[in-house]
Amino acid sequence: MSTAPSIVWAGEPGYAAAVCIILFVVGVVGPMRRIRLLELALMSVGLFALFLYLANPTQVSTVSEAISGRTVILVDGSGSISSVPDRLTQVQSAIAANRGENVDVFHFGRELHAGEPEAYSLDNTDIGAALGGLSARIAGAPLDSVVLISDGVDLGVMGRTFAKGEPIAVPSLSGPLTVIGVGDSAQSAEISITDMTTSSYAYLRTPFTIGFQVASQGYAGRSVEVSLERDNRPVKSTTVKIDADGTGVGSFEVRPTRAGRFAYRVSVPTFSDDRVVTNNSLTRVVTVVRDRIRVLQVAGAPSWDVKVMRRFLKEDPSVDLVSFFILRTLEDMESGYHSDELSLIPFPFERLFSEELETFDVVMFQNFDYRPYFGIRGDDGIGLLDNVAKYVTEGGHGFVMVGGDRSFDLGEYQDTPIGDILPFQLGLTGNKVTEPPFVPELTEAGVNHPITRLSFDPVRNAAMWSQLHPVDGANRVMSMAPTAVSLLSHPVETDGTGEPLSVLGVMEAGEGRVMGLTIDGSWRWGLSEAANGQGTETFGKFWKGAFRWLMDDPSSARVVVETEKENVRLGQSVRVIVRAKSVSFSPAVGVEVAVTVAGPREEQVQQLVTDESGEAVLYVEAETTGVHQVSAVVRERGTQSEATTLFAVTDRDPERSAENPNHDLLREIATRSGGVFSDDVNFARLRDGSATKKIERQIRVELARKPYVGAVFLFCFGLAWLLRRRIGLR
Amino acid sequence: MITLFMALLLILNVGVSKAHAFGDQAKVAIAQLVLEEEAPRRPNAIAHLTYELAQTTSVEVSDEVVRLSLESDDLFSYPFVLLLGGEAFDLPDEPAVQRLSRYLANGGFLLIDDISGGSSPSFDQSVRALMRAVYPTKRFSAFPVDHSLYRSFFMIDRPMGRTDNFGRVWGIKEGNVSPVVYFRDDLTGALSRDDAGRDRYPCVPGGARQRREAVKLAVNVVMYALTANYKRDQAHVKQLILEGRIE
Repeated sequence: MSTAPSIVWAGEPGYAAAVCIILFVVGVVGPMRRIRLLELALMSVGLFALFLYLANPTQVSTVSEAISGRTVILVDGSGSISSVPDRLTQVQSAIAANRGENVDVFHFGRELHAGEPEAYSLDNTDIGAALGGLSARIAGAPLDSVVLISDGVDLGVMGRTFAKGEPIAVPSLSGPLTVIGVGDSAQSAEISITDMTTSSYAYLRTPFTIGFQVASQGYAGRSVEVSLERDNRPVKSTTVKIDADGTGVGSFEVRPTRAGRFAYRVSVPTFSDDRVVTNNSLTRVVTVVRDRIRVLQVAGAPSWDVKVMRRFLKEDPSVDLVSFFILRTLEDMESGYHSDELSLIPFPFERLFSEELETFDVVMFQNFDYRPYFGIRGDDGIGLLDNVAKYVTEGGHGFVMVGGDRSFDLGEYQDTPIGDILPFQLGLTGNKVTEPPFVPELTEAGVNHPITRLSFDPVRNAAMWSQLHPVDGANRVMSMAPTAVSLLSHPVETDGTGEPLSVLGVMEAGEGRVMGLTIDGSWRWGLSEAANGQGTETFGKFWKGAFRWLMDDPSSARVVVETEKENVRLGQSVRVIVRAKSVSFSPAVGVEVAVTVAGPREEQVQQLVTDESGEAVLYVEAETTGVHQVSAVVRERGTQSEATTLFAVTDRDPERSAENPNHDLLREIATRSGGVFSDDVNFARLRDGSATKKIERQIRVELARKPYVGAVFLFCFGLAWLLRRRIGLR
Repeated sequence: MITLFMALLLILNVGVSKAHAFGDQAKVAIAQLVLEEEAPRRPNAIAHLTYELAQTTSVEVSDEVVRLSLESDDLFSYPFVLLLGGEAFDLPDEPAVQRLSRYLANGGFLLIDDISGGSSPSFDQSVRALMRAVYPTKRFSAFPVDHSLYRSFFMIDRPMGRTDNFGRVWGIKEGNVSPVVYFRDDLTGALSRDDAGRDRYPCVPGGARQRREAVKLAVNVVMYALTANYKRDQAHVKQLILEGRIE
């Protein structure tokens, strides 16, 4: 299609006319003769040609064309698509069905991006923003069609508005909208943990409750097993009946047996028909604090060692001590006193070593003979000893055996479950005791061990040990257990293998810790120091260090890393504090700290330096849900110390936990935009055949800028000039 | 049969046999504190007490006879010392008092026995003067009837010695325990025997029954020194209340 041509002056006609008139006037000057009429005629023709050249008359005509409109595919690239395999497959099929010439593909989460999504992992799906962004990109050009491929899980204004039952506003589009909904909400089953309630803090050995709610579709009337895990280890499970509405509620009562931060996770099984598996569990972090250390002291007989130990523990307000002393033996029963005269109570050994065992942090056998109690009923007695062994190896508690004539081999603990967790190999034949008083010697391992490190100054530490009051003999043992460490040894005696006889051995047994002290005279250390006016420094430090080590007490660590909160919401900032102490336990100033925060999907490492108070602070953005492990490594003077903690970002990820596609929203979008909805990925999209673009083109033809016009000008002007020369004019 | 044996064990809280410690030095010994040189008094009383302890309790006792002064290097190796007397004595010098103070503050135990049975006020005055020196801010107080000493092994309704004039025991409380116990009815007099093993002094007015009660009290004092307020632990109190033996 073209318009009628028109003439325009592309040059400067006024200027051209002026030049021609001046030249003509100049040429006319002079006497007029007949020959000059010819000259003037030639000059006029030449000037006219010059005028045309300079004025440049141009013929202009306009031609217009129509181009067909493009198709735009908007693909939901959010995590809700990839969290359900079927949805991802459907999206890819829908894209393939609509690809072709004149097709542009965009993908969206919170915003619109060009191209097909590389990974369906975007957050905060906003269909309204995507449609609005499309209008901006195409600048109102008519489109042949717009294809929206989504599951309808919309976390933007449109989704929230629709959820409230209010009318949604759909941005205007310059092409017919075809909405293809993926996901199948009508047929497949779904179950999830939708709520988990618990306090962030709990007290050691004090029960607390973890509540939960199960929501489901297609599970009404079924019984579902709900499991509780602590740090990925099973704790307990319960069965919940799903009611007609598809919900079930329940709770766990948990009695924490260890202090620290723990991630508790409530989960339902992954059933074969479960559509979304990423919402089957919820996690909360609980900090278990120790109100007091609970120690069970069982002594075979009253003695000064027993008395001083009890006094030491009783005077410590952080210790809750339960003592049981065997006050009478069978032989003593012949002394002629009636039982009514006695103030003795039964030794509740069965209750202590079964149902109440877990209530203690540390169990101490102080010259205790188990045989009258644990062994008298054969397997049952061994079962109680086995309880103690499991209490250590599985429960993560501490156990101490202190020497005496009822301990170690003298107590016939060999070949018992207790013998298996002791740091010494038992089964010695011959002399099982060494009687001469002696001063224990610090071993190489004992120099830096927290139990025997009475002073951080190695010289002073060695001096403190060497100057102690002698102790009264010791139990002899066969050898050290394979993984045990000897911290104190006898100065002259050897064990069954010829190695220096260990007086103090420690060992990590499974989850717990065990200490064996083969003497019963540590009480003398305290009283001998008191005689010199030194208090009871050695005794106190030794046993405090021992109990801390036995409980794996974090307060004795040189590096502590903490977060202000255990559970934070998505998007919140988490303050991570690292406190570092020097070897003298003063604040470690200006030391390098490497803090690693490892979340479910990412890990970041920050290098920090401690301030004047020995602290370094880091802020972490809670960007992904789940448990985050925080570790801090402090390097100082060639030594390295590490501490760990954890926190949980507790919001359910709305993208990845969206169990149901929202086809109703997609239908509403289609309706309000005048489009069409289909859940068939091969659905033929709506098209607008009239969606064309008109393009106009100008055609310009210059009429006078031709060679022959110049030739006319030169010829006429040249001939006129020759005529003027002939008549004598210049 | 096994059930019967178990029942006995449970009732009496006993072990199967008495074992032997790492030599005599590791056993519980009772030393006599001597403030002024004097001839041994109440001979064999400590031996009688250790015999009763060995026969009645699970405590490993030493038959060693030890006499110590406050200046002795061995004082701190004997956490139980007995001071007995019936007359006035001079207050030890300041270093000795300080040493006694440290001894008692760090786990030592002192039993003071008035062998005059309360008939000599001068001994009582000296004892109180000594304790004022050791504990300037504390005074003796009579033990309440539910004190751990009265149930540390035997149930004691009324404390008696050779005499029965006071019916009570005094002590100085430090924290939850009493490192000093003061008895004014001549406990060692009731325990004292001659070389033939006969009782040296009559117990008045109760005779043999009173002596038996005195022996029980002496055993309780040693057990209290060894176990302190063990018998006030909840487990014991609850059980004794349950059995109707205390209220």
